[in-house]
Amino acid sequence: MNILLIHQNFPGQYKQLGPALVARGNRVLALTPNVKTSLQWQGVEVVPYRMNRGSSKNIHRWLGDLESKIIRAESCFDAAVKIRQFFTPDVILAHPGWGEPMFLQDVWPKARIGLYCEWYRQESQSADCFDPEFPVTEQATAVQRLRLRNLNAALHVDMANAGITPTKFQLASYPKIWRDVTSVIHDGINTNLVCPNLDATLEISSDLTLTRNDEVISFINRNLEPSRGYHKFMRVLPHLLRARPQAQVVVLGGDSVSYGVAPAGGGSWKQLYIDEVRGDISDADWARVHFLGRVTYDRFLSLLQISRAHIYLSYPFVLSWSLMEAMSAGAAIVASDTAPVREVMRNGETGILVDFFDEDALLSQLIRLLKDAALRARLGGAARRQIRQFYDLKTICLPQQLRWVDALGHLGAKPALVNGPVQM
Amino acid sequence: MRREGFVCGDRRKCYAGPEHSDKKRVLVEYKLLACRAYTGIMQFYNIIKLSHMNILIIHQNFPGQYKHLGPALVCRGDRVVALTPKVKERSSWQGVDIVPYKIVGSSSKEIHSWLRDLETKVIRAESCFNAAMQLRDQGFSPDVILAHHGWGEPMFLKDVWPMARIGIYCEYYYGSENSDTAFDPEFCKGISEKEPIRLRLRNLNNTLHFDIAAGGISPTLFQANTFPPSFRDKIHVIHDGIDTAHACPNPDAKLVISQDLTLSRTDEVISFVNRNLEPYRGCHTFFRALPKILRNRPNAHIVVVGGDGASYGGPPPDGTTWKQRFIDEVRADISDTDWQRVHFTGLISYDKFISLLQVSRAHIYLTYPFVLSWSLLETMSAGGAILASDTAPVREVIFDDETGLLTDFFDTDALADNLNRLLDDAGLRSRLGAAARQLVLDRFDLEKTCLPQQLQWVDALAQTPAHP
Repeated sequence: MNILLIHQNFPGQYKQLGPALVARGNRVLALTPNVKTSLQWQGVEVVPYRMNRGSSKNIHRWLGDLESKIIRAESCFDAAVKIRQFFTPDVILAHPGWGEPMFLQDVWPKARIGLYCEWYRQESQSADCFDPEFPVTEQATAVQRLRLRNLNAALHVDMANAGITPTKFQLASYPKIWRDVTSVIHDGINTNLVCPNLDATLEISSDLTLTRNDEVISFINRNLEPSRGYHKFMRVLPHLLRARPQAQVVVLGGDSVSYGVAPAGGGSWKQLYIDEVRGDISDADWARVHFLGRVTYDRFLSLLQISRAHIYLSYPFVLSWSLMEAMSAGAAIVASDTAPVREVMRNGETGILVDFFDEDALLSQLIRLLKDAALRARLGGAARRQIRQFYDLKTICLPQQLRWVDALGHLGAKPALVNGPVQM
Repeated sequence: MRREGFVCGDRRKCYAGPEHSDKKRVLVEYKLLACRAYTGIMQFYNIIKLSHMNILIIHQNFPGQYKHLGPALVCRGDRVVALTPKVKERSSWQGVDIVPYKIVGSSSKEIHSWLRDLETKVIRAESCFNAAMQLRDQGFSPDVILAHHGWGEPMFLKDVWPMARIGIYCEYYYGSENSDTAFDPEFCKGISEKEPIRLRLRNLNNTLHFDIAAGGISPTLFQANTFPPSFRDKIHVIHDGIDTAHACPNPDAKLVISQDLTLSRTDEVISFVNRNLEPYRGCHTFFRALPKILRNRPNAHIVVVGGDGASYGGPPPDGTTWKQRFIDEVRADISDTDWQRVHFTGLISYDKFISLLQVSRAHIYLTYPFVLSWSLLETMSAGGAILASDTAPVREVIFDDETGLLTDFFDTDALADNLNRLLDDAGLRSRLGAAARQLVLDRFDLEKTCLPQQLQWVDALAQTPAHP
């Protein structure tokens, strides 16, 4: 089979699948604006293209998002027309989130197209009105903006033969027309790499290196922000430090915003909540809190491996890989009892679930966990088994993904779009 | 020469022509009185039954397609409000409460060309949304919203009134199979491979309205069938209606062409009528047949109505007009004396247009598979003998050798030959013209058929389940 991969930040979600397709003998080509020159990456021919133009400045504010996608889509279309001379894909795998694959059925009407379905923003979605502390302050017209944003999905749905999404929770965000053709297959966790390591160490500073002998509490996010419960975690912190005088708290995450909005008053969420709780924390206790910002993957792994208690909180929104990686590393976890978490974690079996808003429960369950080594061992062991059984990259997810690609290749061709290619 | 034509079924209602102006005035007054009396009775009735509906009409060029439906709804006792940017002051028109609003914002210059169309519609939609919010805050709550969504205005009205049933006027879905796109190979050359994409994005305005509309109305089956299956099921085919009393045969009709020339039914008049003379309406085929037609018919006068612009499909690439381009192409084949018998009138008044139909001995109508012109149905209503292109929208009303003659859109020789046949045979013309008028009386009569159907459609719309 000839396979074309489309991702604005290639390899993105195709990091494992791309090379796996090459390994079994498929010709795999990727189109991406992520590189400047043609190159080979793990057997994948990576072909670059450029954006034809930039966004327009004074566009109606509800259409700016769609325009950026149309620009990317047209640029990708032009690049596809060029490679059409020497390459005909049987299957196109594409992430539609930035618009690129929008017009590819026009280039290759017979190709089967499988889309990566990450998240569909619905009106009045649970994540948007989940936290009463941050009411949706946008004007009523925000729903109109959202509806026009979702035209990106509407423009993809007619050309997609199938979809793939990592979790049931993400699947549920999509309208029925998408759900009917979408399979739930996780990207997969490399459980051989992400595994317990009794000898792991993490250097915090020249004076401080943490090991499994230390009482390490970890909190990890791409960015420190309310949608990942950072405000809840910080409000528990003063009490936690007082209750656990030996504990070292390691916080990973950037200052910006991945999901939701920036604080109304400017500044970062990180600093906002430091300022809120700092007065309640002595200088000596504060010295046991370590904000490391963003770290290398190796250091991230080491943190999971030495963590005695890992905290993961999330709005009902796309689940972080870091939770499943923490489970794979055998960490003992206290997590929020929200839908995406419940899909992978059972309270009292593979972790401890607490109400997202209940700071007292978070504190008491953390203390309970830190006091009970047997409980930690039981939960951590079960968490790792859970990941190996259902989400292991090599034995579970990659084979499922390859079968999904094969099934896609055998689907009947989609009918031409309502206004399909000009017949002359 | 024998006078031809058909007498209008109801002469009392036939007020075409200057000699009927008194009758027209009396009739209008009578209708107004009747309407007022009816309204009074209905209002009394409604006080008891409270069964009247609140109806909101949205049209950027109000009344547009709601010219007859709006007043008819008022007449039966509904409260009818129209939101339109067309007027400056709030006013009442035939009982319809017209509320103005302004379009705020303007299109951005450097926007991606594929989104320019949508942006103008979103700008209009947001302005209409804001006006609707004000109307809502004043306490107005429509049961039914009737809207022409072609310019985008109704896009967000479901957010204002989630329980309202919205009925949209479905004029056209671009680029569907067997439609105007790529119909004419002569003008297809050089069409970009991206053209279908441009059309698809142009349809986003349609798509956005499918989600909020409880139903749709299309004037013809052809137009309804351009819509994708998912929404086609919700479209009722009901024509706007033809005023058959106005567009009717009149043996005494005259058309002044110039000081020296007035045409009547004793002349051999061939008519060709369009808003603009352009390929979408077959002007190239018509012009190319002209030399042969003029040679075949040495006494014929050919009256060509239509502007120099382009309504559909754009102007010719070389900066000229389609009209001039095809005149230049055929003029050398036509002698100067023959050319004297071709009369370009430009755009004319409706009364002159009706007079032309009434004096016309043969009417030529050509079109791509595209929205059918009203002029064809009006010609039929006037009892015209018609030679028309054998294309899908035409076939809906012209049955070959029954209500007109059909001819291949591209075949100029066939056009001239069929025209000859029609002009040589008064019996055929009379048979075709009578059947054409009868078809319009049966299927497209404004008062008897279309308006009652439209009112029923509005009532059915109100009965559909609400989807907030």
